[in-house]
Amino acid sequence: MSTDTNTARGKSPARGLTRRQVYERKAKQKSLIIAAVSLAAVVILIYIIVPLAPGWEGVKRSFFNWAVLTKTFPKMLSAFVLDLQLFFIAAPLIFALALIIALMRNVTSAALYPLRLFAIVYIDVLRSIPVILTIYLIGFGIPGLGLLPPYNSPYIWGTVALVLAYSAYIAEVFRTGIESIHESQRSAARSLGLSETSMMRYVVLPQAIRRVVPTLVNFLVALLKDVALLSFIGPVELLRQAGVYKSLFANFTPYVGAALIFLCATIPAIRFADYLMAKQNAERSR
Amino acid sequence: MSMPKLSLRGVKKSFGPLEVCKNISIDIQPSELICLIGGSGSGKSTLLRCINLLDPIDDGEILLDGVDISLPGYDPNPVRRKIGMVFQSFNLFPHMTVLENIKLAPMKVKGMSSAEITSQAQELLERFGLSDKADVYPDRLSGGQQQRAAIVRALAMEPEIMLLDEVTSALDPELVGEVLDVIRQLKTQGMTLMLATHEMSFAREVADRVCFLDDGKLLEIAPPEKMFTAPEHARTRQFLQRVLHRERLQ
Amino acid sequence: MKRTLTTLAAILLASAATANECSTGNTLTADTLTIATGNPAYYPWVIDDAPESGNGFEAAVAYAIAGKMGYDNAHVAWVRTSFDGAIQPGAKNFDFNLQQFSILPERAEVIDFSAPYYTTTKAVVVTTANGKDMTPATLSGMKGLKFGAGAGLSAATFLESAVQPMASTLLYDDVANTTAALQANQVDAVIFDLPTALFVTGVQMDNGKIIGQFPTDVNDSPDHFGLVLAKNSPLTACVDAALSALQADGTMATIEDKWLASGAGVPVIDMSK
Repeated sequence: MSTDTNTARGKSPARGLTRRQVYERKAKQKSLIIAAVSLAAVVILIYIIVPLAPGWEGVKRSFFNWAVLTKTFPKMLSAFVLDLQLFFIAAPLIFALALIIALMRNVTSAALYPLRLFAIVYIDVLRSIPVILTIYLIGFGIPGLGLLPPYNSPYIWGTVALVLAYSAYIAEVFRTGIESIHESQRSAARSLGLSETSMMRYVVLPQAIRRVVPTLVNFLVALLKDVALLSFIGPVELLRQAGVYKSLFANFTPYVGAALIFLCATIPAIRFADYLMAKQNAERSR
Repeated sequence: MSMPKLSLRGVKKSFGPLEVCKNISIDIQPSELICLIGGSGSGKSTLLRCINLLDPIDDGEILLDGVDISLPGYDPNPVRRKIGMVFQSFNLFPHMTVLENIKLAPMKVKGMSSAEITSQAQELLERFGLSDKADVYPDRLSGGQQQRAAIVRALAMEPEIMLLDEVTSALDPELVGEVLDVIRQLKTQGMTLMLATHEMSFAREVADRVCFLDDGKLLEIAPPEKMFTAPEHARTRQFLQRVLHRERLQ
Repeated sequence: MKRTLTTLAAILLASAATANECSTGNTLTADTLTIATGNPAYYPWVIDDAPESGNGFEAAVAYAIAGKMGYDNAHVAWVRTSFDGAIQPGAKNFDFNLQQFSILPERAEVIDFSAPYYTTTKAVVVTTANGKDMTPATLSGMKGLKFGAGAGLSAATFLESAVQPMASTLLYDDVANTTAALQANQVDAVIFDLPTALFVTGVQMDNGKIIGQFPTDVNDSPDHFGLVLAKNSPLTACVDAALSALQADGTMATIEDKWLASGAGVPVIDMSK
């Protein structure tokens, strides 16, 4: 790959392209045209055929109702602010807890075995339970023990539930990252006299975390969507607000609106994760 | 003779049922350069790792300046400050520049200030011809430069002994020379050195004594002229014939 | 053979009951009225989640309407839908659907409502344990409460316009979750329609108490429950005719007395204070 770019830079000082470059440029143009034509064909087919379906008018009225959308969208947007708030509180807590759990899972000394055991059980149990159940059990269960306001708030316990569930997943991501660091890096660090803690902190973790960043971004996207699950225990965030409007207007358009809002928030993050992944692959193959 | 810098006495090491070091004893004098030769799996690397306390030995003693450092529970980190080690590959931390690689241990282990160690590191880099690579990340270095930087990093801890584990084995042939030059330089400066190597002509040139390991046993230990011209053991002769023949072909 | 007999009988009956004539050929299945309820269907609207028994207010109303339209109990089929199932576009799997749907002009744009078969107020439920038990209940007292309500009900919109509580309202999927939040003290008070409130405080909760119902002249209160039919269903007129006949002959009042507890003793919230 690097040789290709070298020749591209090196051998075309002025207009003069190599034979291969001419060939590749033509091939690329051709495939672009084919892609554009086929995409256009699909779009046109959808645009023409779908409205021919007998139920299209009904679907349009129930799902793509402009009047309902304009009436409901502003308030749904402000409901999404709650999603974002919960997300930005939960995400750092998740990373911190996940890192601690991953490190506990990784301890090797016999004296600290209880920590390791705890981490294993923690990860296994919380990964095995659907997130929504964790939210129900913790969001309704713990406040039911008799906590007094404001400490029984569904915002607090719902966030706790999300943090527990996601930290179990992300702890595993971190662990994979830690284990992917070559053993000789640890040997090299040890041979320099670094303590186990310093080795983890300065040598292993920075590399491990960098390696799992794309996976982490994907989990963040999932988290942003799963914040909506907190609506089951009370908070009126985007999904619930859409549900209220759906019920009020007997119309599903608010859900389409909610989907649009989620799309706008998550697509850039997904693209970013892909970009990071591609960048890492390029670095690794260099 | 003065007290040996490093003494191995009856060192034994097994991995499960596999005995890797079988009752190995050597005394290494200050400023001596010892080459460990032998086929792969003969126990050279393990022996070096044991001396650096990376792998605990099962039996025997390792004495550094007369102190047994191999006692179970002995804190390895002060020992590693005195004994530097460089491996075959993946030595440098890829997320740090060469300078950061060098500065890490002196700052975190010895508590040196960044300014102190920076000037010292730059001096070392200069001495080993890497001064223009200080702010470069390891993946931008050639294999030979990487190994030289790794040696400089170990030297920054001001060790009394350096262990070099096949530091040229993973290199393209044309890059081997620059690393060997660095080792010659270390010897000139009076560093006590133990190196596991496949470079027989280099061993012959620089070693004070050569150790031949075979199947975990230290079979023969001799000055290079004797080892390479009149080895005592048949196994040694066989091994040398094989590798010297190969070296001639190259 | 049997089929033709039934048809014959139906034709004969049709001359007596005009409503049947009205629905003939327009039902989902010929000679059968398909009625939908919730899954599950809750007390006191349907007893023991068994609408076929005719026990419970909505079950009884459904059979009474069917009867007036000329369908005896054997010619009634029950199906279950969620709220979403009731409003989704496309062919419906029921002739009419009743599960406490409030008649709202916005909803009427995509579905048909019958005339109301029941009218109720919204009631405020607290637990006697949380210290929010107020007598008399006033609007200013309500403003200080943190409310919970069912998301499918019109309660959220109602609270916003009529009460404007200081704390944001929490919403739940069903009566059980709403009650659980009240018992966990996550909300100070919850809003139900009066019959549900009477049931929850009378049967489900030990320490539940209705502190008041909203007066009938405030905003959307009271709630009018209507049967839901497909938009522009030819059956809507038939159902309305049956309902008004049932109201005129006193059947509706009888059913209500039989299945719904009296809310007569529940104080009305003073909206002027």
